[in-house]
Amino acid sequence: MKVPLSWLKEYVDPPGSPQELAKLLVMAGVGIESIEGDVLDLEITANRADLLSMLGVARETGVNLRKPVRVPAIKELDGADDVSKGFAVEVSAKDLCPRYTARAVLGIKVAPSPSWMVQRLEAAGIRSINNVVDITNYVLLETGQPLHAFDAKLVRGKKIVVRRAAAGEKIVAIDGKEYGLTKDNLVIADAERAVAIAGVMGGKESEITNATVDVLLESAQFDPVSIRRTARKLGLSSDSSYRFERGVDHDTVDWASQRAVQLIVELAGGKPMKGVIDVSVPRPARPVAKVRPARIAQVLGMAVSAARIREILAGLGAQVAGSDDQLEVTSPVGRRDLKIEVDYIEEVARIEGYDKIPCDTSFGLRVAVDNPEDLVREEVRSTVAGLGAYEVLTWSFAEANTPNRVSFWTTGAPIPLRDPQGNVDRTLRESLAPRLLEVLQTNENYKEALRPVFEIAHLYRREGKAYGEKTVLAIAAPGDPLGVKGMLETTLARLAIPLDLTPASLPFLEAGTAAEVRIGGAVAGYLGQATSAMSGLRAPASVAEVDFEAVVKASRLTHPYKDFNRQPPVDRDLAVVLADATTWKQVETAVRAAAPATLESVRFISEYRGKGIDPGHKSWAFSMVFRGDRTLTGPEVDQSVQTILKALEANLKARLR
Amino acid sequence: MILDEKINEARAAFEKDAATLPAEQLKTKYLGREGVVRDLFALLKTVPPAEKGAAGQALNALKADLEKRVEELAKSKVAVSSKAAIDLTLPGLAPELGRRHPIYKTWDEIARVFTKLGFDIVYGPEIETEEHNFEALNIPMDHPARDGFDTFYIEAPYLVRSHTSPVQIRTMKSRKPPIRVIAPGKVFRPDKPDAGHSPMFHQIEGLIVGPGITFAHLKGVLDLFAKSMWGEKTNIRFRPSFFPFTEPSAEVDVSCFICGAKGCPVCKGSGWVEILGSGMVHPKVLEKCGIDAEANTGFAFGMGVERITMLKYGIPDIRRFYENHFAFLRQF
Repeated sequence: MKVPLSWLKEYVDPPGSPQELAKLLVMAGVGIESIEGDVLDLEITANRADLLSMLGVARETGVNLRKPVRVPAIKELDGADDVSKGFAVEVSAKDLCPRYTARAVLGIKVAPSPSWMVQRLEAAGIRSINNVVDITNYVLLETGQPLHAFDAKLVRGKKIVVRRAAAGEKIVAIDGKEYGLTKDNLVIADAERAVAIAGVMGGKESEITNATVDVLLESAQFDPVSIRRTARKLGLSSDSSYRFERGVDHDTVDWASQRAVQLIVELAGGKPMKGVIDVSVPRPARPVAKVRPARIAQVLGMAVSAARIREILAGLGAQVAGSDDQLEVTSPVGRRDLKIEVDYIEEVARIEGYDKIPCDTSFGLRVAVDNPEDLVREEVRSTVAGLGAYEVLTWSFAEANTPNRVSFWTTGAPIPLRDPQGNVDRTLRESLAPRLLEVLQTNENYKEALRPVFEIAHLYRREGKAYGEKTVLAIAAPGDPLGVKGMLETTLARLAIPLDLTPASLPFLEAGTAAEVRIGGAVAGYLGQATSAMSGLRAPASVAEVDFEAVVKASRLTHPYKDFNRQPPVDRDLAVVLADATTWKQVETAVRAAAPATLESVRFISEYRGKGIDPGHKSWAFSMVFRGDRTLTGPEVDQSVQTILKALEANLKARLR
Repeated sequence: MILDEKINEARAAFEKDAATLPAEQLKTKYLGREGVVRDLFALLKTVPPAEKGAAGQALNALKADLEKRVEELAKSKVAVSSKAAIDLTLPGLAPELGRRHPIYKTWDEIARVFTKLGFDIVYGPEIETEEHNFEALNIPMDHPARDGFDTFYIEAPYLVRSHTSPVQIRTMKSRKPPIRVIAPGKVFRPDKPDAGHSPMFHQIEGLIVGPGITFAHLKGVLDLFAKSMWGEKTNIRFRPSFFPFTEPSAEVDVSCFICGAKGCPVCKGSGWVEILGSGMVHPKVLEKCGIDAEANTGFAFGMGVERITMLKYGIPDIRRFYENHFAFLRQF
């Protein structure tokens, strides 16, 4: 809403400069988009339809400056014939049009507007057309009430019908475009056809032209929801629809019409017909609220005197009655947002000034309760980042038709997302893995050295007829799955959860590299090397996803201390040649089965293939630590190692290297 | 004489060891309580009485010589080791650390301030219903108040939440006053990505409800928050605004922490940076959650994590957060 200061001065004495006015309005809650010359462009919140008018802005300025507002005087003009003799109005869609008024001025002369009006309209951003159209726009800007002028001779049957459009009905609006209508759209019609899209735009065929001599002036109140839907559906927003959507006041409808008639007679000549055709629901009572000064103090934490409250509310145009303990406040005309006590509490706080309200920190001590989920998340993030992974933040969306689906967590089709136009070019992701691999791709393209990445975020899935989501820890890293496994193993170990893997076959992972992760025996994720189609990377990359909720459930962040053995350890390394198919798990199991209780740990060191090792075989070196409840001697540990070696030879056909 | 031979052997052995062992070990091996010299002294009793005097002198001479040599060696070894000094300008040995995403760093920082003030952290689902995202928050269907809330729908009534405010509703339905929580999380708006917009971003919502909670408390809490985040000298400014779920409503500015409120490009010369939306919980919202709106009052506030992070680090484009370029992440 553009407000030229020079125009505003007609209704209130504003501060000296546009900047001062801007500052005052900002602190009253009216945003300022820009100041150009003496024109302020206001940013108006959805509740303040009143500020879509010069009078509303004047009222707001006045109450803040404690200055009176000058409202233009209206007087009923005398006419010869009664307007109802010349025209008829029928409202068949009463639910969408609570009030419709029509006035007529005959024998006018269409001409350019006087320069003062042209200048005011142009400063406010509206192009001048001719005196009659300009007057409707001028009064719209002045009062916030949209008006429409028809060329009365082109209204067939001298009759206005407010009705729902017929299916397939069409209209050419004054923007020259044809619009197809449905029964959800309200139209203004004459005896034969639609002449305007109600509240949105007038029709081309009945518009004011230089040939117009008789004017039929519409001023009405339409259902805001209907206007909003129609404007959105047709992609057609106008100064009128913008105001009707936000609601116009029953009591302003005919007042604005009289103001316009007065200006038409003044600037375009002609004679008004007598009176008004007013098809209206009974005038609704203005809402009355009980406003308690004590409650204002209770909500704001600052007392405001009853006298000051009365002054503020009266300044806003409200009628204030009742006692100082309980005011009875009648909602001001044009302020459809003021209905109940709390609405007035806001007004008092606003006009008195938010800066006057103190900062009060006496809201009582309270100990915040930590969520186990947050404690575990922190442990996981610090561990994984400590191990060298970068935490990433990826879209919760997937492309609608991605070939790279990971439906480990989900059944059924991905969940589509519709934008406000109804288009679906995104779905909600079913897995974090594709996005993490995409991060590696991005960085490969940027020639970065690839490194592990991780994220804890939601994936989304269908759950019966409803939808659910799951928090997942995902890790992706260049290389074979042992890197990812190590990070996961170390992280879970911090939470006292053993990493339990079961070989598995998953379509998005290379065969023979995939495993399910189990927690407490139940499947809680997977890890493995992504297929190259999946990863899109030049080098191999691996991924893991683990159900974070299962991790939280199984986590132990503290556990009892166990005293440690102070006897000296004895280390022994072994290198054995084994058939390729032999797994580390088999070796470790055989070692532990054969070893005495003094074997404390077995650790894999390295693998060797090549010279000296038969094809189909590998050499594995591993180290063992022995510790007893007394100092162990060299010979007795050597004896244990011999026993272990014999067992490996017997069970796994191992050979000492 | 046998002992003389042994003394010579000991001298030879010492010099051999001196090439490899550090001075301290030499001292233990040769001059210690169970050392070579002491063993030789033990042999004195086997020496015939006539030779005992000469043998004793020879042993004492050995002991003195070796002590002197150990001392010499101790000094020279220091000199030798300083020749082989480590070049400490070489990079230290450490595995490269990972990084935390700046959005989550800011999230944690904000959450820490509020947990210090006794706020519990609560979460809600990202897939929500119209009821929680709009109706319960006093945002009616087909109302211009919805203009700011363009939303991704799955299929009515399901959508992905366009703000974290639905968590207020869930909290008020599941907890009884007094309530003091913050709700961080992801939110979604069908915006075309540009420097300032993203279809996914993060908000942190705060809520206090209970008897006697006032707008002055709202100002008090946010003043503490601003001072804790941006320093003791930070001031806050409340401007009236409109949110359907709060009344009175306010936009909250903080004095520009970039320029110290002197005026800079970040605050567009005004000295103030807009950071939060806030207000007293609308009585209709309390009532919809089954809370007595006469006996209780409350306030809510919400802020964008991206915006605060961008201001904090001077990041000019919101899209950087979701690209996950290592060169970006490495800086945090």
